[in-house]
Amino acid sequence: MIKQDLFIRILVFVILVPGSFQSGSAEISFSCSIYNTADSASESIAGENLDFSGLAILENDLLSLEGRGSAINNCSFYSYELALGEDRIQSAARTDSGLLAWRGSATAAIDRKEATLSSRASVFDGNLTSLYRNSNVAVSGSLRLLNSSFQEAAVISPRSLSSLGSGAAGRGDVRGFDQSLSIEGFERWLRVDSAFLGNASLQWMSGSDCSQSGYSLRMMVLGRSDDPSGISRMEMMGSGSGLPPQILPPGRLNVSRLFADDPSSTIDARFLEEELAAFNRDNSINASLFHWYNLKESSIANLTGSVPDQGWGRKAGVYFKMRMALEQGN
Amino acid sequence: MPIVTTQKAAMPAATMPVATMLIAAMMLLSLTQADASSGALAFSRSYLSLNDTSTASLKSISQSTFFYYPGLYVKGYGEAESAVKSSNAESMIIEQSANFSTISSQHLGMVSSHIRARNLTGLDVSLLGISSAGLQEENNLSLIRSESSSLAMAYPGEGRYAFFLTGGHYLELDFCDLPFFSAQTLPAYEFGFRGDELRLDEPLEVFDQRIDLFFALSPDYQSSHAGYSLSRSVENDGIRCQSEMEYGVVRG
Repeated sequence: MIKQDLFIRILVFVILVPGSFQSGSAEISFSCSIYNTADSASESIAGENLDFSGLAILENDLLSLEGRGSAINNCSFYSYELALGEDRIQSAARTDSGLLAWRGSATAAIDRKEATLSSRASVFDGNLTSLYRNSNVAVSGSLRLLNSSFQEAAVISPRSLSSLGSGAAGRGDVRGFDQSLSIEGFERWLRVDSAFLGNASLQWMSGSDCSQSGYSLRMMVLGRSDDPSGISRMEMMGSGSGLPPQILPPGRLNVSRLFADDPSSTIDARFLEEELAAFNRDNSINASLFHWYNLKESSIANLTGSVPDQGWGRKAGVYFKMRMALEQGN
Repeated sequence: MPIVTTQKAAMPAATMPVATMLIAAMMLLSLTQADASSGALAFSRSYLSLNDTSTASLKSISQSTFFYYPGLYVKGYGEAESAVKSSNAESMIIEQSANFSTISSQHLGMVSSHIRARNLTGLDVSLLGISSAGLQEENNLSLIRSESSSLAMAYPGEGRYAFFLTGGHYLELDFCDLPFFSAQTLPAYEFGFRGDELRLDEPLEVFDQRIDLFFALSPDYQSSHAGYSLSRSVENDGIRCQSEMEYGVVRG
């Protein structure tokens, strides 16, 4: 008698399409779990105003799950989670003025086991909150836009996670954004907050990276305004576990014209005494010590630091760039 | 043929106070005049390196004046002041510099502060630059002349130190490529950067910050470009943060 292996293939195909509606929202939820003797996998989706389709394949030595979805109007929410054995990856987002989409797959076979999830979000003049998570870290973001647009993409696997977003100001007298990006994992956290509001051309980027060796956050803002008074808000702050907040801008620039300048003024003996007295007073010093040393004259060809070459081709206005990068090693 | 004049003052370690080890205090002053009047550059640098101190301050003042036939002067004034505090006795380095140049009739300047410290708890930085131009009677119109002076005052917690350098040189004028000349009174420009005070309850393990205040004036002295750039790197409790900022204002 010949013994034959039992072969089973099960296919599950799911399509969820909410009907059209004039107002309100359509909620969907779905979950699926499959397992064989070697592995288990599951996916779950919950959200509002979404299209979703999923496919599950179950064989003796193969598990496969796929799911993809997208928003059907500008106001939507989703939370999609994939699990493969002990590994879990998740993507979730909510917007009131944009489009969301995601796609995930998990496969467990004899020679491989992998899961990946990618997502995209595109927002204009509204709000976006997002959450990307794997077994090690969770990256959460919130964004508020005013006459600006923003796109973000994320790729998540059980051991790595990366996200990258970019934004630009549109039209309108006042444009800007208010964004927070944070990452938690390995009992530590990092966070970057940035905001800009004003009449300016503007671009910015934000991103996160996580691997087995650590994780990082970064954000950059650059732009130009015709007038410094046209900028009502410009700030960036980085913080983390045990790290005091790092804040940009670091200070203030003042430019003014002096109407009285003495061309004959020099750093002379009287000036020296006044400066030294003020310096000593500021530093609470009672006595004064002077050390004079012989001046040694020599030729050193390249002592000078570089003075920026200021081309005058630039249009009048304010130019700015802020950048912050935070890293946590494991 | 460029002429470079360099002057250097250094404090020998033998004069250091007992409580604070002054590793090095150095000041450099450099003047460069390119061929004829086409370019002139003055540069000064103050460097203070300390060990076993929890507080230090350095104030540097530099002034350079380029005189041109038939009585035009272009003057640059730079002032940098830094005060650093740490939670306990540590090593720290404060380096400040000022650059002034007139190249292709454009007047450029940069005042810089570079601070490296460990277990930092407090920091104050302010930078100031003034550029002015005008007419002044010259006795010898056949020469262009550069003068430069610099003063540094160091307060390494214990004791005070002051360094003063002055220098200058003269060069034959060959009447080419003079800076813009006008009979009218030219305004002086003041460029300042005031850093936000940093006060920390918990010290930063590693701190490295450089701030440059730069400014430029157009050949006709009617347009200015001023700004600052920051590069800061901090480390604490396994987290590293790098911040950078550039901010510039162009006035037409």
